[in-house]
Amino acid sequence: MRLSAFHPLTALVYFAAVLAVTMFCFSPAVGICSAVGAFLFCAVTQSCRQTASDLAFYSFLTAVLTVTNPLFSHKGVTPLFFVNGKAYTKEALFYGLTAGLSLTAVIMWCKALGKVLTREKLLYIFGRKTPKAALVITMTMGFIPKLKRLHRQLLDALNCSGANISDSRFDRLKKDCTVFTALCAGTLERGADTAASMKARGYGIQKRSFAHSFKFRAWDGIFVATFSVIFALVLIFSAKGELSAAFYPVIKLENSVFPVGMFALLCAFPFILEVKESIKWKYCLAKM
Amino acid sequence: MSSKKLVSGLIYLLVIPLVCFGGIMFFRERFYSFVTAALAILTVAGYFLHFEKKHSDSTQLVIIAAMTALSVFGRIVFSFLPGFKPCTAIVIITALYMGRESGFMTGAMTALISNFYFGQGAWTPFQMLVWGLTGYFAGMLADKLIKSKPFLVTFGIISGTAFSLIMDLWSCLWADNAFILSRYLALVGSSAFFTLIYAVSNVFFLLVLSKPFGRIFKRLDKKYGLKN
Repeated sequence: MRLSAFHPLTALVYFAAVLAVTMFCFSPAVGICSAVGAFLFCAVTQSCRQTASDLAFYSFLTAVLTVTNPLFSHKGVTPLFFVNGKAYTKEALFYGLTAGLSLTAVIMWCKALGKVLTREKLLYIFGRKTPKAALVITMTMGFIPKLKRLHRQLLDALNCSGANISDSRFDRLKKDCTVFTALCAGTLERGADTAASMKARGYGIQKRSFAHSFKFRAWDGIFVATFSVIFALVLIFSAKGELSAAFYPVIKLENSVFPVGMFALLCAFPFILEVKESIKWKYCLAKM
Repeated sequence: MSSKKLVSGLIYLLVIPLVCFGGIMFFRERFYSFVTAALAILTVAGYFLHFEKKHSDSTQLVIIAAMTALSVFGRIVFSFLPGFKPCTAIVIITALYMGRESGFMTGAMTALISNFYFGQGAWTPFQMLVWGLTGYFAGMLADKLIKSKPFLVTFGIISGTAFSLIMDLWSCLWADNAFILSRYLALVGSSAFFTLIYAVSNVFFLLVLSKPFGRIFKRLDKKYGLKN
């Protein structure tokens, strides 16, 4: 089973746990584990080209944060050299590196979350508590392709009538504004029609019902329990100060092997599942 | 009913200091970023729940959805001019004609849904909060903003600048876990060009769109009876 085949809530618990630790336990070990885990998962679910470009971009981002941090923060006791009479310290350099890693990890996990928790699953999770907001989101997502079509029609109509043929930016802006205003008027009219129709069919009289076919299976229960236990352990160790890093005035890393190992396992989880599935698939093909 | 409301309000107020305290306990080094993130999420979630409880008819929901779609789509229409987008202006206009509640929801939804296209991230709750509040304040000042053009222009400039400054403040807290003035100034300086474009585009779209929208809403009111 891939992570995306589990119940939406299982995936949500997983991402919440990983993101919480990544964002708020500020230590190089956590940053590395998390970034590597997210990266591996993204690498097996997307094209090599995309992975290469991600790798280049996020290495660059991390490098920029690492190099610039000592320019802004002059704490730390080990000056490497001086810029404008201010110390460029080793401690600040490492702080920047850690910040870069954790930022990269958070962005990559958000990307992974987008791959696993599609809009439908998110609506399933949050729609029950907030049916009105869920309805608004669904309707908005429905409006956007319609807007694209209507915009095309309006633009074509305007072009056919021979208005504003010149290509200057000012004319283009003017034309876009005309079309956009017409688009707004048209969309709101249609919207008001929809609203009247909803009212006529009795929207809001009864509670909204949902049609989804997600089932919470035994495996989901087992995985949620496992994630929660690991998350709780990591939190406890973090509160005891065994998963922390102090950078100023001197670098002091306190990373016990146990919580770091647990967290690394947690991060590698989607990647392992994904690889296991593809091996199974290849094996099945070979048997045929 | 009112006592039930009071209890839920009190619970909500208790959650905030608890979250701060928990953040300090568990995430010593990162407690700034944790607490700011948690507070943004709690505020937006609180407003969403409040919106759920209140009675609102289908017209309001559809108009919020339509305006959100327009503001997200506007980002694509005007994409040939970088940074020049009508989002904030549309949020403000919605608030002017439909009230502060619709303004907040349109702002928050714009941030959420446009990030489905442009990338979700840890910044989403902040964008939701800042855009939502822009709508809320515009709704509060609606009467004055509709009457006076200079006031509307000032509001557009302030909301554009504030959006940029607040997002820079967030990046700063997020990167350093402390407020370092020199980094903040460097961030503000590097984004100054875009801040300027935001402010200019807000004013431009407010001036261009506010009159047609006034007309559109008036007609809708006549035809369908918006305010009932």
